[in-house]
Amino acid sequence: MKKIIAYILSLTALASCVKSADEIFDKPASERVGEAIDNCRKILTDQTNGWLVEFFPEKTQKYGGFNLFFKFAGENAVVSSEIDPAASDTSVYEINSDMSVCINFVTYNPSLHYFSNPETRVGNTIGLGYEGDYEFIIVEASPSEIILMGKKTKNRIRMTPFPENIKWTDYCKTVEKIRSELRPQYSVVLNGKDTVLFDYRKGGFKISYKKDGANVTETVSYIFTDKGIKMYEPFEVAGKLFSEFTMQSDFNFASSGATLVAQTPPRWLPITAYEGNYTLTHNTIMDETGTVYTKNVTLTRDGKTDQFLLSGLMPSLELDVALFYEMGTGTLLVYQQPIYQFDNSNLLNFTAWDMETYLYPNALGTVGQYVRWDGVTAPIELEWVDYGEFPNPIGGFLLWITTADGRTNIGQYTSVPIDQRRWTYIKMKKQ
Amino acid sequence: MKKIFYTPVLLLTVFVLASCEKDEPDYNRSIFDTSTPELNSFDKWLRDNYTTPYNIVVKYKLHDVETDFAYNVIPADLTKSKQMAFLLKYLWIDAYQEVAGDGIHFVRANAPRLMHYLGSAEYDNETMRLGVAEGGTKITITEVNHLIPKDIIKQNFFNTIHHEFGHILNQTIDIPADFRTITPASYAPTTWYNRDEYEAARLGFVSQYAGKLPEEDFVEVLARYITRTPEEWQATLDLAGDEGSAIILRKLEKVRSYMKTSWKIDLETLKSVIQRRSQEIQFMDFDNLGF
Repeated sequence: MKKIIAYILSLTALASCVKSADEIFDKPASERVGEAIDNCRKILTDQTNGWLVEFFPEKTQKYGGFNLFFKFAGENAVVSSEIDPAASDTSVYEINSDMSVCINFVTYNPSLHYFSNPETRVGNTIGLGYEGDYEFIIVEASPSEIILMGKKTKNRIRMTPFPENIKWTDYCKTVEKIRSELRPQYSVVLNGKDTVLFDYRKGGFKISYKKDGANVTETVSYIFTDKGIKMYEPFEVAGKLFSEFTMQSDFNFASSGATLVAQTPPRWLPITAYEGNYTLTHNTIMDETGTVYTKNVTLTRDGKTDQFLLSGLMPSLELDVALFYEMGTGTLLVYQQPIYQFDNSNLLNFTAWDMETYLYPNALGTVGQYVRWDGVTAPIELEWVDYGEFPNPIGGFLLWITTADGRTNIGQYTSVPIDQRRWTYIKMKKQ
Repeated sequence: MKKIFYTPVLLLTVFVLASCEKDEPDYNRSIFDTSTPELNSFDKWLRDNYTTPYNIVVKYKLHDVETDFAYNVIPADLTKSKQMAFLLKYLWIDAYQEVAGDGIHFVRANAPRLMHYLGSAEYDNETMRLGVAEGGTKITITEVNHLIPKDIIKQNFFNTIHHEFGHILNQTIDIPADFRTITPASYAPTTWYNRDEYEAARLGFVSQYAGKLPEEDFVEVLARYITRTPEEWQATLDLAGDEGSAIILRKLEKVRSYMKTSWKIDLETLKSVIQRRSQEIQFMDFDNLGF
């Protein structure tokens, strides 16, 4: 029996000598990977003015795309982004083969790791941030285009050589201008009958149209370019494929032979219209016939963010109040907010004031008013009105003290004159 | 029977040998990259100050593929990494080397083999994970980007490195059994963070975290005692009150005799050396470390 088994085994050994395994590649794998790395490094470093990077963080691309700039020299990478074009940061990068051929940014680069830092409140929240990548698989690389895939998000990131004769900062200025000219809604009629609406959402559009009689909505993400906007992925509506939109002089977009007509709601103002000095008038009680007080106030935009700071509301305290621009309505939102922390850790809050119960003694929650234009007057006149989210209407704001967690009330702040701690019937006229 | 069996096996062996004849490996081509990597000035400094003398690798570059993708983390800043590497050597390795009887050999034998720097804390969504010592071979230093060199003695890094090194010593020679019996009923392995500093001190713990387990308690007594100034240590005793401070001092004596008998290190000398070095760093220029 054993003899038979042994003969069968020896036959198997003979079979292994059949020369069917032809070499597919003329070089061993290690050598080919080494060559691929050298080739990628050469392509990356050859671009003396760097690369324009269409960077999309987060695996569903819900924040849209951001223009980044990479330049590679030696072991260092220089990175800048449209978030802060004035800053360009140098850090160490590596090309290696841990998962295919990869570019890894291995030391901290503020401009790049802004999109992945879990310790900031931008994007999602503490612990998450924008959830972007800093390690990338090189999917394709040629001197005219590099396609990366984020290791964590699997997002597709495209890099193109940046022209020699343009500064990164100038490109960002053009992008910023296009962004400021974006309108909250676009509509287009396709095939003479299908009306398609494009509603702004942060970093993308919500597209609404009818398909086979049913209402369809979908969200798509885009990145700003120096000509308009470009979709993360092309999408199809009513038989037309959209991938890029070119901004026209009248704020309309041209794409795929169609014109998307900008729609502006009656009281809508662009973000650029708000900055400036205003004469503010207000009351201090929930009665329109009360004494009117007048103040000089200033609205300042915080960098390129959606946030504005209002100063001059309480001159003796020199504290500012934050307002947020909402693109959809073109208005500013004022939520109640802590504005100062006392030495004993209690908070001084700019608290929403309930018109019916006269107090809203809880400084938590996004309750407040919106600041809107009347749609007619120039110079601009703004009125603070109820935001409508809270069951009772909000008639104004007052200074209110709570414990550090905002949950326990201490009481009204009374150390300043009444007109610097209570505001109702607020109106602002641009000077 | 045996004879009959071996004959075919021998035959088989001949065939197997023959089948490999034409498949000579190419000894001139290695599948490993054997070229010498290019070292920058910091890499050279690390080689000369950590790797060659102590066989410690300091990994300041982040290769996320080696960490868990479920965690959100960013790399350490290069300048902060240099400052951190310099400071940890000065306030920890050099201090032990100065005090331990057999100096460099003590550090060589007991130092972790790998130190890993991360720029931020590690987050699993919104939960934060701080640095850990893994099996005595690896210490992860998180939040390197928050380092302020001259304030390091007030930052967590200073206590953390002495805390983690204490664990490594304990993994070689266990903590004395009679340390575990000083406050056996007061440890709260899962709810220690519900006590504040005051409550912990009253129970005889030098910090909140010391109240977790005897092993943590032991290294907290060690780390806090040597890293705190005499005034700060006194403040801890004052906070603990008569009963609490008596317990803390009993624990301190156990730590003192452990260091002496197990490691031939005099705790007072170690403390004074670390305190002196903490003062000396105030006069250093961390913007021009020279590497």
